[in-house]
Amino acid sequence: MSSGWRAYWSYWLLITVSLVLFVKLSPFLPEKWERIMLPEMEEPAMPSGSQTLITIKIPPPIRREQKSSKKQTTEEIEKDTSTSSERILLIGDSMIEWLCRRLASWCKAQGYQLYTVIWPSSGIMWWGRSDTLRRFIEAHRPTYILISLGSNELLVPGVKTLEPYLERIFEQVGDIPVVWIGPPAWTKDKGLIRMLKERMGPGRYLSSERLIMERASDGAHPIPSEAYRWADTLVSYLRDSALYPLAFSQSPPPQLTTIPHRTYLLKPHAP
Amino acid sequence: MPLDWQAIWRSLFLYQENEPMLFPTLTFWVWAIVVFGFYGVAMQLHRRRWGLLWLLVFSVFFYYKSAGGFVIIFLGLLVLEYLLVLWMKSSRKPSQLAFWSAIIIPLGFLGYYKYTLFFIQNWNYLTGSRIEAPDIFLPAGISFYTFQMISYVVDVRRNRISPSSFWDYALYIAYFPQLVAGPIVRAEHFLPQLSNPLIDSEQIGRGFWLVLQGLVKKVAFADYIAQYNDLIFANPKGYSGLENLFAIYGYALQIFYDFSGYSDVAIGIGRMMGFDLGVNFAKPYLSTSITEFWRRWHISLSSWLRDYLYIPLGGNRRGVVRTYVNLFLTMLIGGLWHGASWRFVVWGGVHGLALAVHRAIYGKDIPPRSVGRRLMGWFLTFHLVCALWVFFRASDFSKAVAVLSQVSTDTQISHLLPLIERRSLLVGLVLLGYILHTVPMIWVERVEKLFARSPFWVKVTAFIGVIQLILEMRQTYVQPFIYFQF
Repeated sequence: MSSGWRAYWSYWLLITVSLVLFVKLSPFLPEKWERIMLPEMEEPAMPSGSQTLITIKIPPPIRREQKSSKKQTTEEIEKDTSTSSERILLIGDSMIEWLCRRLASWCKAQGYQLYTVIWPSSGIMWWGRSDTLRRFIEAHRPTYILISLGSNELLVPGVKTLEPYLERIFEQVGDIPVVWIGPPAWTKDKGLIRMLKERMGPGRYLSSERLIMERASDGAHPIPSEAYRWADTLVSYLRDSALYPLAFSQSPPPQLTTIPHRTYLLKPHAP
Repeated sequence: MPLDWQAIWRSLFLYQENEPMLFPTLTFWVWAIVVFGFYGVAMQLHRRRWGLLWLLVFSVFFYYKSAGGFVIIFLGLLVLEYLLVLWMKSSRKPSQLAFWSAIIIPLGFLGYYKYTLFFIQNWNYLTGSRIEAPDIFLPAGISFYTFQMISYVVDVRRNRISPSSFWDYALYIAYFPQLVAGPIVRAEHFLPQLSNPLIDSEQIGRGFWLVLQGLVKKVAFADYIAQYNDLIFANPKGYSGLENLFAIYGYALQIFYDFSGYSDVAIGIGRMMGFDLGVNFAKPYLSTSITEFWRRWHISLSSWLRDYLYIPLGGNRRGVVRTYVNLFLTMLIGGLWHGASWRFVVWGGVHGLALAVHRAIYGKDIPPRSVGRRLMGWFLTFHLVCALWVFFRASDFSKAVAVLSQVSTDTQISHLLPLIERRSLLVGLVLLGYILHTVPMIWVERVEKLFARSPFWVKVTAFIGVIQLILEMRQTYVQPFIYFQF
């Protein structure tokens, strides 16, 4: 056999061995055959004339929650002294990028203050294992909390593993009225939505998976106009169906969108 | 965890619209083992015909996985073109009818699939009529194989090559690494290789290196940077000028790494099978003039346009003014080849204009002599190319103008540090991408050779590392290669 053919077969063997080794050694045995993971880089853009992204005040890196830790500082998050009738804290993943602007418009018309915390790529696990939510609650003393998480965990098999993290989130919420905005699923989930519905109960969970929304090029995120419609649905739910209703006008707000009272954009890194 | 055999079957054998068989997918690499295996066995047993036939069969299957039912049209065109060439050469004087049929028919298909909507939209706009546009999907790779078919016909007509056997011709057109996104290989370069593929250990090693390099370029650089560019180009007014500027530089790098990454993998696979598919990129962003840029960027296309469009238009043989017009027209058509949109026409047209202006000032690409002039030439060329990429990337004219206007009116140096702080990985990747672009070719070749001679375990580790990198860096779905849409 010539050296060329020896090389040919050695590379053939190399590719074969590598793929077999990889599949055998990979801790991510594929469900869809090909594992799919990526730290996505979605970040919200601000409308023209408003603050630009790079000037938004960013909280420091988020620590893992430590029960014994006494240093739960919140100095980087500005303390709030607002006397607004309602202070609504909206937390979520990148799905709320556009939703929050329309919601902000509704809130502004009603005299509410909306605080938004967008943590791209986050999910129940990230929020549950960090003290992020508690720090924002301490800083802004919200009277109402809206949570939009789960989109990044729709395809997680064995959703039971998320339950402890879900409970940790509710520990941080305490007795503040809360509504969970269900993930606007673009694909069939693995039981997460059912778990969330059961845990939240009636009046505290907005089903978003049935909303038909046009998606952006990534196939997952709703395009802005659809996200605005989603926000309108949320407002109707909060006004008419929520366990703890929020007063909202029947007529749409004068502005299509506005920026929330304050927006925090966290780095898309796991705690 | 039990394997989903149905999903595996679908993934391996059936066309799935959202999951074409791209190089950075496990499906492709599973098939690669089979293809290389059968091909190697056949060639070693001195059954060259069987080996090549197997490549042809797989190539057609590869096209089916990429384009579904359009494979029928592809096969039909393949056979028809071959028959027309035979007809054309059947008498001593080539049949004009056969020749023009062989040119017009594939161009007709390309025109129908690519430009019908564009034509109807513009017709409606100009005449106020309301012709309903039909639902037309562009078959993958049609622009590339159309060009290869035409070049084959023209080369036979010019007696640069003699008609080959159907199987050789079919493999030349359909050879899977270059079928859907180039490089556009010439028949006179490829066909002679079929009689004796060069199986050489160093070539195979360097080919494998190119494959790894291409995958990393595509997945680690292009796809990651694309996420940022997508954000900015979707809403340029929502971001500062500096962020827009960074997106322009980012997109220049993204499109280069995306397309040259694909070319690297295609050329690498070709080398591993004993075929030389040529060179498609030669550090284009180091060009010191726009003429030089087009000698370094998408070389197989620009040389195709030169040989089959610019020269037949008259090239530089019909006077100075006509030369400029020909340059302009060639690039204008080249722009339209990239996409049925006025943005591409503008993109190609301005490139053509720049080529003509450069030609008018310097003649046939006289490089600037002094270092200062070379630097100035590089700076101007690079920024002209970057600015024109904005029209290439933006979804419409208003977005393109918005990007450029944000850069010119809202760029503040004070945003630089926050940008670096906020997007350290992105900034690092873009910087690294440009730094790697400046590495001299001789060093690159040295690394290729070193890798080719490295021990087996080094290569296994490198390959596994690249697979892991793909899995870590890729997005929810593998991003299609940018040039797939052309």
